Amino acid sequence: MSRLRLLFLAVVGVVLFGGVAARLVYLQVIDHDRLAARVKRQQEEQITIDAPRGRILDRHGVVIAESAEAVGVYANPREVAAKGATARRLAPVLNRPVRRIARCLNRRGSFVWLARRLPATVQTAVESLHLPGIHCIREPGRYYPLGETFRSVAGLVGVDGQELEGLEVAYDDLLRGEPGLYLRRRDGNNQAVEIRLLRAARPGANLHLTLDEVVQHIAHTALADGIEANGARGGVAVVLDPRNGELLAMVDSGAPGSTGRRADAGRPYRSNVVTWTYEPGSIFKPLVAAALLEEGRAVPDTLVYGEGGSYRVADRIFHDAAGDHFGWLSFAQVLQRSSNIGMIKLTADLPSTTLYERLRAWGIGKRTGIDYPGEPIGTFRPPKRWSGVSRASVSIGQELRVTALQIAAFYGALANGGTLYPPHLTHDDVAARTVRPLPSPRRILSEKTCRTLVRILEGVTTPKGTAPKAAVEGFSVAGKTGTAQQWDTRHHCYSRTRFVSSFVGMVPAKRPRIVCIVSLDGARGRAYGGQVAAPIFREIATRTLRYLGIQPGDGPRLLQVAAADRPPRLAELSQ
Amino acid sequence: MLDRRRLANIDYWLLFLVAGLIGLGLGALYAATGEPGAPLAATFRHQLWWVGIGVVAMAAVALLDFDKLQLSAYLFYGAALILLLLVLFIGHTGQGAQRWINLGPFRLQPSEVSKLAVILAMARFLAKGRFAGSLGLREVIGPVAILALPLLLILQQPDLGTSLMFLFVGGAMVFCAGLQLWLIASLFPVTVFLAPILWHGLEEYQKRRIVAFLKPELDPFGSGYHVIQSKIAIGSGGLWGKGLFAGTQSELHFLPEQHTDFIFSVVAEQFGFAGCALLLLLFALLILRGLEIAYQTEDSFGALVAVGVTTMFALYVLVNVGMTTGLLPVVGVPLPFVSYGGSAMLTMCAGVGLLLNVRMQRFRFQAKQG
Repeated sequence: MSRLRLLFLAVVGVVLFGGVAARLVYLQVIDHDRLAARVKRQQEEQITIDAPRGRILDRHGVVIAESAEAVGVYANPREVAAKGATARRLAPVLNRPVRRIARCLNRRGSFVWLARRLPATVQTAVESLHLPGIHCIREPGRYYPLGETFRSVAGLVGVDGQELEGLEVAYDDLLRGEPGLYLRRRDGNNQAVEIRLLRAARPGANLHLTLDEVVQHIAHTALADGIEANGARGGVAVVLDPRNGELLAMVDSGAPGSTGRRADAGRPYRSNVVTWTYEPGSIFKPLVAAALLEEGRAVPDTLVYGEGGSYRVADRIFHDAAGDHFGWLSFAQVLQRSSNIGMIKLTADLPSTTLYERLRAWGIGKRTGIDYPGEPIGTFRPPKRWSGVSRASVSIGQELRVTALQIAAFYGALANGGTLYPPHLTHDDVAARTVRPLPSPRRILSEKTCRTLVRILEGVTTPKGTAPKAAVEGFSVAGKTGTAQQWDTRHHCYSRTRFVSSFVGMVPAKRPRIVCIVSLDGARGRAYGGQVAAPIFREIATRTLRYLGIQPGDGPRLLQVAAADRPPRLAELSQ
Repeated sequence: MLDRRRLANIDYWLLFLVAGLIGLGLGALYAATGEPGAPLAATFRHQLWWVGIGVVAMAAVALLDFDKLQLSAYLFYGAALILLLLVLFIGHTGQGAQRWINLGPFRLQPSEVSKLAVILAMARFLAKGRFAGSLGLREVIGPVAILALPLLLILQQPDLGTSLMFLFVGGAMVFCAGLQLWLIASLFPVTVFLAPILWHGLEEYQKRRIVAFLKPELDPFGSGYHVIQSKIAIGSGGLWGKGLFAGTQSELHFLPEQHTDFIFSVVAEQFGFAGCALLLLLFALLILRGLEIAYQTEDSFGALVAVGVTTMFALYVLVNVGMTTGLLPVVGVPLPFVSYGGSAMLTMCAGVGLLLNVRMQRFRFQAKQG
């Protein structure tokens, strides 16, 4: 028995214990903060729960979009033994194909969605089946009770509550509110042991629109009927209040501007009123006419020779509409009968830059600033990129692309005596100012120009003009037709078969209360605006005036609608 | 046999240390298994029983006749071998290893109790005095054989931790008995040569544990999980700990095996470095006391028994704490007197009994001489 070796063992033991102690000091003192942070990280987790989203309401408080509880159904495939039978029994309840459910159930993992955002009643139906591994979870859903009529305006909220399109995007900050914040503590098996509220959710605010459910419905129905009657690809219609730029109706239907290719089918939750750009054709002539009037280049009686229907500018021969072989015309007649040659010759002396600057100032080639996402600027080339025919083309609404809103906004200014208001959708000043500030209104035309031009345009809807079909019984209507050949990108020339047929007008002409534009793409036949769009305009205008309680004639109103009274709803009117 | 002078020579220091450790151990187990206000957990009540059985065993072993103990050393050894053989045939399997024998209300882990038998057998063999303090190659064959038999049986279970412990305990005893220096020196090249061969013979889970030890972050949710969570628990305890039942790592079950092999992490989390240091200090004093007993004992059998038992204690503590702090790979080694487990408690208490017994013999020799 060696005592020396025993002592050696003791020393080794002390050293090893010292080493272990040093390790403890390292872990518990030096590395303490980092390891303590890891405890927090693996045991605590902050989760956010979306606040109830605000409602979207029309100008009288009718619900366009609202949130309500919905149900999501998910499966834990590991718990599902009889996958085929389960899928067969679930399919009718979830209204999904059996094969799709079966495919979900055959996936690996412990969580798979089977269906989401179903009505809350589905939960009891699913639970009454007592299927192992199939679970329901409550989630917020978004409902659009007025459906189709407001679909493209309201937009869409995605499955997980993220905004995707339309006003839901534009006013998301307002609608979303502030999500609730929870602290979730979990144990080693990832089971929640405690869920504590850190910050309560602040519900989203409601969004009040300028749109009127009834006018929207009127416009939607009239447009859809008109598109069907004329076999058009699609179209848009807008009704706005010229006194302040409030949009009363903004509807689209079909797929205007599409080439028929699949990728071009458009996005159903995005309004074509905002996004579709097209060559305006003759509805653009009043803008050029306003420039001539403002510049003092013409008065209503200024005469111009119609050249018998065809006229050459540089390398291009312009024609008037088939069957029109005009002789001498006054400036007023040029507009009322929509003579291309008349417009071209009247504009011939106007410097390109002057024309360009005027039109730019009136909003052509610029966004109107509408509080809706995805607005394009259109196409309007500056004069330095113009060819020899460009001025002539522009004067009759070619070589440029506009949106219906740009034209409607200009006609609004014409109607109210010269002030350009940005068209807008929300009624709520706070929302407009905080979320999406609108451009401020500005005067663009003299009252004299407006008066003169409106009086000329009243002639358009008389039997001598191009759009007697736009006349509204008992009211004088000022407006303009447009039948614009569309540029054929395949053959690099203007199409002889595809037109955008438009009518834009204001009524009552003496003191306009509504401005309405209707544009249809690809109507059958020659598709004159006066034949295709004017009747739609008349339908919308007639019913809207009646709904608004505006009396025929320019005399004193007989019926006053008290400001506090809610106008009658569509359903009540049709009874 | 029970003469009064022997009783008067009881090592109160050792008893005090062991009592302190058992007390702290029960406290730690309470912290690991209990909940505030709840009745005592079943594991805690079982452990109380085992402490009682252990104390009785300690007293019995301490009061055994020393000469008879030496004479019957090979008998114990034979019995231990039979138990180990039995395990392989009728053993209870748990967590991938066959280590337990069912004995009605409780299970016995023969690899634990057989340690003492091996220590006794080794001590008896080495104490014959033929070698006069110098063990060469030929003299080492006997102890190696004594070690090898149970070792091979335990490797079959398989239980790598216990096997290595056998190796080290035996090594310490042979070292103190006077192993020649050139043999010690030659151990290193032999180890280097054998290591790859041994690696090949390891079970897959053992290889995973060693890899996990070297690089725990490689597989944080698999084999590295234990070590990572244990280190987090220990480190987050800090200097003074989070307080009784306030250890979230253990309360929320992030810690594996928290009342058995990883109980040290529970202590560290709830009572901090202060609690750990106290525990380690008691263990260190226990071990130094054990070595002192060996140092002062004239009888070489007694001294070797003391060396073996003390080395066993030291290895248990070092391996267990080293494993929970991430210094060593995870091998299933309990913390003496603290981890839940009957066989270990019984073995530790009987080991203390051996130390007490050896200590009391000191005076017998003095009396004979005097």
